[in-house]
Amino acid sequence: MILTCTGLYLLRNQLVNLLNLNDTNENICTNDDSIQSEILSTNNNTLTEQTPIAIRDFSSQYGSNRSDSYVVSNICSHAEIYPLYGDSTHALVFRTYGPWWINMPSYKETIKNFIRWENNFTSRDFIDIEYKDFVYECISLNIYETYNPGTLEVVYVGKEDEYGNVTWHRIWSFPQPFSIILCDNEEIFIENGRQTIDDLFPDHINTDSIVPSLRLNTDNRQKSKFHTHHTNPPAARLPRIVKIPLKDKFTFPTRLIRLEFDHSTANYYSEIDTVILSGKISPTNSIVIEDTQHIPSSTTIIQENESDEKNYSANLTKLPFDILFIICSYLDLRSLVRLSSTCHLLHRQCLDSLQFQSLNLQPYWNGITNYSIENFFRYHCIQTRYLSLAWTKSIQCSSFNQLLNICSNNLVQLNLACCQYLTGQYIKIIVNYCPNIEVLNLENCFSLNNLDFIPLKYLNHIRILNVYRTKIDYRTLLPFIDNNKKYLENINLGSCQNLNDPIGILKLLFARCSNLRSIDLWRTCGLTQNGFLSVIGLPFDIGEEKRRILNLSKDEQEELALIYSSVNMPIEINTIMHIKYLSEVDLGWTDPPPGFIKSFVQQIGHSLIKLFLTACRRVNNEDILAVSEHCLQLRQLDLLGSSIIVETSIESILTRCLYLEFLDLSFCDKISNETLSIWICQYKNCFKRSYSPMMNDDIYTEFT
Amino acid sequence: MQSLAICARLVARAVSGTEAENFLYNSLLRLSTSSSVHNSQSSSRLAIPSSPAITRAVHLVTATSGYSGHDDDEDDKGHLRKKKNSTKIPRSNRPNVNGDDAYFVAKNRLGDFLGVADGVGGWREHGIDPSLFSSSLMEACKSLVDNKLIDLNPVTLKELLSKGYQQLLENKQCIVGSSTACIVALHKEKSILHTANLGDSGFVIIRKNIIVHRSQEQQHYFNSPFQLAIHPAIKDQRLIADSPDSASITSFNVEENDCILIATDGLWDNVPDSTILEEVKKITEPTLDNLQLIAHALAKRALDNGHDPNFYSPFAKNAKRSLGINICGGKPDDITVLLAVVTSKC
Repeated sequence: MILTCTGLYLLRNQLVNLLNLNDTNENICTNDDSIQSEILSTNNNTLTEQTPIAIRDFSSQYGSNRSDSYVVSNICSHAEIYPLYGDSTHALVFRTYGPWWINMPSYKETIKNFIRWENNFTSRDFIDIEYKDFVYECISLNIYETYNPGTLEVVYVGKEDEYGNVTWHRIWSFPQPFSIILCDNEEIFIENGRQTIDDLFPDHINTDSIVPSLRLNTDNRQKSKFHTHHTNPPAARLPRIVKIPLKDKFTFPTRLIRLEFDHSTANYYSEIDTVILSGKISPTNSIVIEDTQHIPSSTTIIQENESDEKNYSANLTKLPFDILFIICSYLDLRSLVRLSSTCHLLHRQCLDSLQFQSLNLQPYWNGITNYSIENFFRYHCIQTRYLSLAWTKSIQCSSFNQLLNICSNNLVQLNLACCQYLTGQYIKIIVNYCPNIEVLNLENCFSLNNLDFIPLKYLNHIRILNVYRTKIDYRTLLPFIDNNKKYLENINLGSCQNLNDPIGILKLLFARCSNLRSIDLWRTCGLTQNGFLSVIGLPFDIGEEKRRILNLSKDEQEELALIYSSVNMPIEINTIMHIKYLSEVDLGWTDPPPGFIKSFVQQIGHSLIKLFLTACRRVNNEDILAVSEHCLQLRQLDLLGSSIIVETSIESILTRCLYLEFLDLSFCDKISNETLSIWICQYKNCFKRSYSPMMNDDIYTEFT
Repeated sequence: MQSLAICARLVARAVSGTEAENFLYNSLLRLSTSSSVHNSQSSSRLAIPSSPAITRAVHLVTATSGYSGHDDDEDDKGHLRKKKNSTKIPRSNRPNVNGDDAYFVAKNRLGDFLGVADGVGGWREHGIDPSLFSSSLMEACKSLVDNKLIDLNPVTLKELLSKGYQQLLENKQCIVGSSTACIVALHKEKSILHTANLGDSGFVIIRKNIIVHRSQEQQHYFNSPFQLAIHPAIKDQRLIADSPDSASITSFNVEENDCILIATDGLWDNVPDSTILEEVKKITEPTLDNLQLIAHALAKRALDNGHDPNFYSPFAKNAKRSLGINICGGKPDDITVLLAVVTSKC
């Protein structure tokens, strides 16, 4: 009996260590107060406030790769915008916000198979920040939020070993206590994460009149479709400093901070000016204390678990396998593994390979190591069809090889978003072992170079491809599109700045892929006016099209000619009417010529539900009238930054597109705020209206 | 950007010829009695501790002054205006702006940076505030200097201009307009003045009452300078758009007490070199107050000459030389003057 018990403990310990799933935020040192105070008294070095010097990794950004506007690296400077409040080019801005992207069919399609309920993980974007000097005694982390604040979800600190390997320790997560500092230096302590207007300004404002305008643009129906901890929109739209206490939260020196954000209920882009780490930068002796709490804390957990087991195991183990299986399928992965480590029977039954049919490891990105793959997942992923390794940090090629070898033909969906360790070798492994992949996400894998992608062209069942912000180019994409033309539904080429032949790629997509449902070309480089006209069957200059190719280097010209002939590239497209289901189109920052949108929606506008024309400055009123005429299903329309679209065009959109739920009219000079407020009463409040940073010290202005 | 370069068409500084004439016979613009003197961004306050290095670090003491030639707020002489100017463009009150001109003064650990930009007034015809482009460009450059610049070498300023221009293209707000630009930067360790100039704003370096170095004016033809431009949706055959790469760059070794004068064409068109030297000679000691006086005096001279119908201005001389037409009088315009002295004193 004792033997089996210890056996169980060992087993459980091993599992927990394997997965590294135990919360690392529990290692708060309490028993070393005396030592700490001693250090404080002997070492009177002063506090240093550091601004970030580099960004190690991040998930997405609004700006383009080579620019300085709306990019994550903008936080590597002192506060520039604060205490102004508004939409600034000098801020960190992520690619998306709010429920608008999450509730689109193309996104839902990518998450629908990950059925396991991981309700603790709601992060949507992250950023890994590096500081210049190691901080030996951290005091606080100050995040300057200058637009749509209140989206911070988790804070990690990184611990580097001498080989540069980083382990991340979670030290704060919403809604743990934090403080907000307002412009007048008033510091407000927030204990329960509630950040509504009532919390901040209990006496100032009559909340009845506030609530509707506070909810401006945040549709509760939209929010009800996904899980988030940020159920209330953040209160006042004021510039503020979120102060996360770090004192005594960890004991190792660090210069790495990771922030995760959940902006799924934000009304608009949340923007951050800078992130300041304050603490002491000269070494003290406190490093010695580290890691002493780890073992005792985990043993206490085990003891608790044991008492639970005594009470319930008897009933649980009597259940038939199928009932137990269903119960287990409602557990998140962490709970499943914990349950499985309670006894041999449950171990066998919980970890049945069918439980791992869909395996989303993104919530556990921090704990997925070569060790856990080789010693755990390798044995349980025999049936895995849907696999997400998104955000994981460093999986060796051999482990990756083993894992995909096990999944092999079964694998239908693979998500490798933001996996910076990927190389060409990994891509070869995917293509060799998993020929049946239908959904592939390589979003933001910026370390892969253009030739690394080439094996992907041999895949031929792909329905959904996401290569946002990668260096993929025509060498891969042209044959790839041709091979997958019957299946391809969603393609995201956003921020791909090295496509080299974007027009050829677009032409082939529009000519061959009749099943196309969504296409994202956000900030895709190199789309010329002539190219735009040529891809949808408008008259264009063939001579210029030839000159465009002649401008490429000699080698590329030859290669392109070869690929063109192998995919039988059409010279002209007469119509794109055969694309019947196209519902989402993002042309943000691509600058299509006037008349393009008109012809585009005339042909395929009937099924469009999303049309993003962000900063497409040449789209004119005729185009918009055509949208109102042909896109009756339209739900989202972005016209940000147009100086030529007038109010009557928008009015016709409002009267005809009855399903409209999102209309971004920020920085549209010809549309006045007064008209907008009339529209809000007359139609419905579906508007977005951003503004440049300004002094916003009167909170009333925002809410009346 | 690419398309701008390709379809570079021409637009005159004062879009139409008739308007240029209006400039000449100074009916369009009115003297702005209420124009304000913009006080300096006192770079002298930010003292650099003298380092024990062999060469003493130098810096600039800078004074700024300027007048707006377009004072839209007063309407007492509105009847003098042409009809096309009748629609008022709301003008936001930005700092560091004189009419359509804008400037910046910045300092980082590498040295001191000064810049002026002259927004092309012809945009008023399209209902666009010409100062939006110039001031945004200067703001973008200042922000880059403050936060992003890591090196200062002969091509840095061209890159700065290029990046600043790129930022305007990438702003969510559609910034339409065009502008000339002139930026100078003093490398504080090497005492080298790097410059980049695009268009007809410019600078002179004065040493011991002699002009030892000056910018080259860049024009497509008379009174239509090179300019950076953004005009995505406006079709006008006369539009000019030059690439930031066409800026001319120089690097010049400066000495202590060298005077650097940077100004828009409001000064250069109305004040001859002799007058400039005469004024600058008056600087006895390079204190901020002295510089401020002279900068103001120069701007005032430009303003007065610009509105003097009998003054044979440098602009009139150039008109004679380029077009062979005989005109007289100054050219009323916005004026921005930045006057700086190289010093190693703290």
